[in-house]
Amino acid sequence: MTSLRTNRILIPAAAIAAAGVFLAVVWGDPIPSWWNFHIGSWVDHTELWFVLHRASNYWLFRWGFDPIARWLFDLVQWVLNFLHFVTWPGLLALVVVVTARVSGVRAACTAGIAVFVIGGLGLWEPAMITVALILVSVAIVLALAVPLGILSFRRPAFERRTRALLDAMQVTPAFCYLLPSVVLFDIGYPPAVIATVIFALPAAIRLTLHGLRGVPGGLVEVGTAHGATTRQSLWKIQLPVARPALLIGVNQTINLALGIVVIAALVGAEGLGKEVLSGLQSLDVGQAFDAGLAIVAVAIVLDRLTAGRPRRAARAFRRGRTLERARAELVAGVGAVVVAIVIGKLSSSGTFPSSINFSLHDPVNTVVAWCQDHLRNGVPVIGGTASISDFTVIDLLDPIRSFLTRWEWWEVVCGIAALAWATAGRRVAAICAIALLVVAALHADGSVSGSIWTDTMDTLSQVVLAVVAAMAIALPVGIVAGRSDRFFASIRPLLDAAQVMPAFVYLVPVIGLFNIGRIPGVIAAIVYALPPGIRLTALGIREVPPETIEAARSTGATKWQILLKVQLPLALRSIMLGLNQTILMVLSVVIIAGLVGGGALGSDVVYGLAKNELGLGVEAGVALVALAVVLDRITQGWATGVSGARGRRIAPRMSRVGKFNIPDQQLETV
Amino acid sequence: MNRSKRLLLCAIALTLVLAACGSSSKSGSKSNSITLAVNPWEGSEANATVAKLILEKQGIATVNLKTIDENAAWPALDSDSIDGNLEVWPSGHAQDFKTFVDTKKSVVNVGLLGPIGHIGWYIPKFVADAHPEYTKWEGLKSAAAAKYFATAETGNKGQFILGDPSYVSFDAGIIKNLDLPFQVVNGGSEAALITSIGTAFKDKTPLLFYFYKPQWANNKYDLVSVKLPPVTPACTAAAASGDKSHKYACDYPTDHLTKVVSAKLEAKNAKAFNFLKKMNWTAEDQNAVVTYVHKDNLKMPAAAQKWVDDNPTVWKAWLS
Repeated sequence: MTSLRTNRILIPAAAIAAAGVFLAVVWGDPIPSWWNFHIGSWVDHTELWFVLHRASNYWLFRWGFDPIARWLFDLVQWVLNFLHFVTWPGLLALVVVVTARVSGVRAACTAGIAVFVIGGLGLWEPAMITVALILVSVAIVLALAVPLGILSFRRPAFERRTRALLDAMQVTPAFCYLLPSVVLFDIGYPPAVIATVIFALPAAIRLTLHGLRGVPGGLVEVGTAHGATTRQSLWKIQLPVARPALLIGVNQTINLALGIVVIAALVGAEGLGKEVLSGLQSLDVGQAFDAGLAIVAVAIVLDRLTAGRPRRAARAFRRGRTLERARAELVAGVGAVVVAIVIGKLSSSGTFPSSINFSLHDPVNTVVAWCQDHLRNGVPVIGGTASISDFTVIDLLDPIRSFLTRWEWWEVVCGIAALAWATAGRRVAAICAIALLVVAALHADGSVSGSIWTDTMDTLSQVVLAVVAAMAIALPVGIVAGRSDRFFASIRPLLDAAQVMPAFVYLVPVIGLFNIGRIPGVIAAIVYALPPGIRLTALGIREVPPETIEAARSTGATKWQILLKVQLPLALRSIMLGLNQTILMVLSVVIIAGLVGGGALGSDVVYGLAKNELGLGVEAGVALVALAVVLDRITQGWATGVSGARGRRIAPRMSRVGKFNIPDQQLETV
Repeated sequence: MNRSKRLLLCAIALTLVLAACGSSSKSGSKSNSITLAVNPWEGSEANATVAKLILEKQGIATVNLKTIDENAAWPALDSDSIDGNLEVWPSGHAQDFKTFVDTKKSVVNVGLLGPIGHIGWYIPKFVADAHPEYTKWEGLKSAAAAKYFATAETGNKGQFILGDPSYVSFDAGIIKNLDLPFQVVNGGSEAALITSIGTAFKDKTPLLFYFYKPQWANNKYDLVSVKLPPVTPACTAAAASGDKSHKYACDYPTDHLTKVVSAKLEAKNAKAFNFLKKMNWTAEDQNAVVTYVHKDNLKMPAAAQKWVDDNPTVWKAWLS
């Protein structure tokens, strides 16, 4: 027994030590110049080729990209025309009626209010453009994701082979493929739709796959026994049973798509993103905030329209809603929409009345100005945000960064591989080592510190701090939320808003409060990454079976003992997944951090694209993907290890849905 | 039965969609409508809005304004989706001029807009008053200067803040070659840079930064430029190659803001082409429009209209 355990430690240690010696002796320091994939220059050459051949008579554009672009443009324009045709009263009625049918009356009220808020903010026109873009993107994502999800379900080999690609699609900053898609698909709606599809597709595929995997084998078995063909069992059993997961897929696709709205404005897609950007240009936080609020409202409307409460609706239907009644409701609903459209057409050409206005422009600007005047300096005891900022940089960020950059590159590769081996096994160790060797092979010119490797370590130091801080907030809040339903219900809208509100909106005030540099980026990352941490912690706490707690209580455990000895250990798996999600979310904000002085990889991506040095941008993007792979695989390994130790029976069954690891139970309750 | 019905429905829906697509065509193909780029800064918006007002009033063309990133505007000009971009800062687009104007000839340079852009190093007026030595680069060489401008981010070196990374920057080279004890901090965006300037003015803290004229913040904050060594041929050569190896050691060259249009515009709407070619105004004119927005709280179209009403002699010349 002991010898076996010794072997388990000795063999990996020996293997990694040998690899380290090999790397150090054969390759030495610094990273040898021949270890270079030349990704950057390859990308630059390809781009130039496309630019030079970009003319409508070249076959690739004439028969390939141009028709696609035209088709996408027409599709968006068509939806937009429809939205204009129904006018705002018509749309309000349509949203309320459909939501009431799908998700119940309460949801319909919320959605109706949200529609009204969009108009009241004076952003009706841009909001319609955004809605049209989102609807088209989501439709395309679903049209691709459902078949691909089914294919991955049926052919595990296909799923395995595409996994890395899906990871890359999700983590690669949208910035990286936005400008290239302008070269291929021209400006305006088409590149915006393409970028959204690339970004949102992986989550949708994974949710489809997850839903299909969740279908109990017995059900399919029964179908087969009754002579169902493969196709029949797919359409009649698997897809209907997987419906809740598919609906969550729609929902997540919408949320992800809304995340690209602001970036899409950079390529002329207009809409609410443009309002955010133009507010920032003149440092008008109020204007940007209004537009951000409208984006949140759009998210709420689409969420209520699609997510539904399918089970509750079905139950209500069973509970004595007769066919006649359903028919009457349908007629009433259609009637209401038609009447509303007619009213909209008759009155004032269908634009939202400007007399209804509850823009928060002025109050927001007042609050921001007050904060900058009073919180920056002169707060008793803590001194103010400026000194907090300095403390964090000097005493936290700098030491972590110098710790990470002090090691030679091969030491880091071996050290992280060893860590991965110890926590997650041989396979993960190999993956991590390969990912880091890829980073070592990136040598694009012009990066912030002169080397992509050093920038990667700099980014890693910021990621570490942001993750620790986010978890330090998410854990207590999540624990409270897990124990109190009312508290959880009250913070849910905030969590939603934190994810959908574009980070740009709160970054300008943050720069005003803290000093320019790495801190604003870290703060943006914390805000964005909090929701999954809080949600998954709360979920883990809630899922501890009441009998277990009762048993602990009957043996005389105090409240604290129950929390520390029962609830937290049992929730550990869920919390570890929360950690994993937090890390991925933080990584996806690195680019935005680059826009407010975060430096490192974020700056490289922004700079590379801004200067049309695509090679640098793409190499930094690759480094970011590699970093994500390393951190994701190691924390995933921890999570699995924890569940192995604690017993699978109690821990919730989890499925990997890209950024959104969703426990099965949640699928049923969301 | 049910299945075939569903299939039929799908087929009908698909036909409808395709029909809808087939019937409409790309916007902008009408010869009387042109699209001008609005880059994400106010000067650019002022140029385009004034051009739009006059072109539409004279019945030359209906003008769509398209907000777009300055780099994304080039492929758009190339593919004729945008007809003109009225404010290009040439120093940042040498490669684009080479690719699209010289090699591919899909974009035409139609001359200068008028304002001369000047990029440089700036400090707030109150810093210049307290320490006049910091208005020259020699003054920044001392350890005292480094300590004076140091922040948590830069430790024992002075901080130099950069704004939007798409703007041309030789600062790393300047600092290295002039042996200045400073470190570049990438602000990442213009908004981040101007917010920091605002904070510096509020707290009266020192700040050394990259800035440029024309820019609306110059009206709001009193900025003083730092004298750098004059431009030498060696610097011009280094700048032409993008200065990746950081050889640059001079002041920034002046940027003559340039107008470019799509090569197809002349055939499409010759009058509009001539107008855009002749359009030329001063930095004061452009500034006036932007000031109406900030000081008088007007929206850009109203501000542009005000300038058009007040300055007929200037723009009448663009029509002849």
